[in-house]
Amino acid sequence: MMDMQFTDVGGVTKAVLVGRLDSFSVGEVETRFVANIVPKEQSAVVDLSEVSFIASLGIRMLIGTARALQRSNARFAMFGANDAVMEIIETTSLGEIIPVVDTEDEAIAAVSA
Amino acid sequence: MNPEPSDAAEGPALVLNMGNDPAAIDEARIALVAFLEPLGVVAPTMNRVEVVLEELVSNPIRHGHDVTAITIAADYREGLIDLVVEDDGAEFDPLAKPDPDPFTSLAEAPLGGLGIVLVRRLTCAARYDRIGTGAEARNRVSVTITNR
Repeated sequence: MMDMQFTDVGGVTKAVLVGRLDSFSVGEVETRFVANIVPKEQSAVVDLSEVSFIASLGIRMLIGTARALQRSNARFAMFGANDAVMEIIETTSLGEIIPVVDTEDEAIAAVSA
Repeated sequence: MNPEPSDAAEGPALVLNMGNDPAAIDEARIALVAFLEPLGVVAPTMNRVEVVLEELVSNPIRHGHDVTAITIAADYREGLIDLVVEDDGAEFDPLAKPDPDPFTSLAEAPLGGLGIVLVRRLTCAARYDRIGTGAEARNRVSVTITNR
């Protein structure tokens, strides 16, 4: 099961994801994830430090959200991925199109640059 | 979910039978992890096994509307994990589709086809066979993952 929290950090949406981002969870949370980020039309960062697993549908949700934000000239970055999640991000080349950094400060800087 | 540990050297060591039920994927995952953990499968490999299982099982569940039964078989031999996923749906080779074109921007990034990219890149071998005939016909995807 997946839990999510959203806050505003100085005009940047911060999403915290907690749990497994598998195909079943994505089906349950994707609409809420997109609805809490995209309509605000402001840059967003996602805290992945409590995400223990990600597969292709989770990657697709992140790409889709980043792409929708780009249409509002807003940016998207992620931070705190553990080794298992990072391997999947790198294997799908997601890290080449969305900044994936270590800390929240770096992520905020990446979307504010 | 009916784990069937086999008692002989013949056949795979673990066989799991499930219906076309998204919630059963996690049960299968937990059973597979419980089987592989005592065999010394290291954490990074276990994650790759879980991702590959997720992709191979969620594919027929999401796309194969005529799928009623899925069988997962697993075996471990000399540092290699063999995983076989079969379904009773219409003939479909998920490995036939080429990888999406490489992308360098969000606009170019594909929203589909990433599951099979993961299966190809996280395994050292992957093949598809259509087995059986008539009512017994099955799609079978067999993969091997190195324990490293």
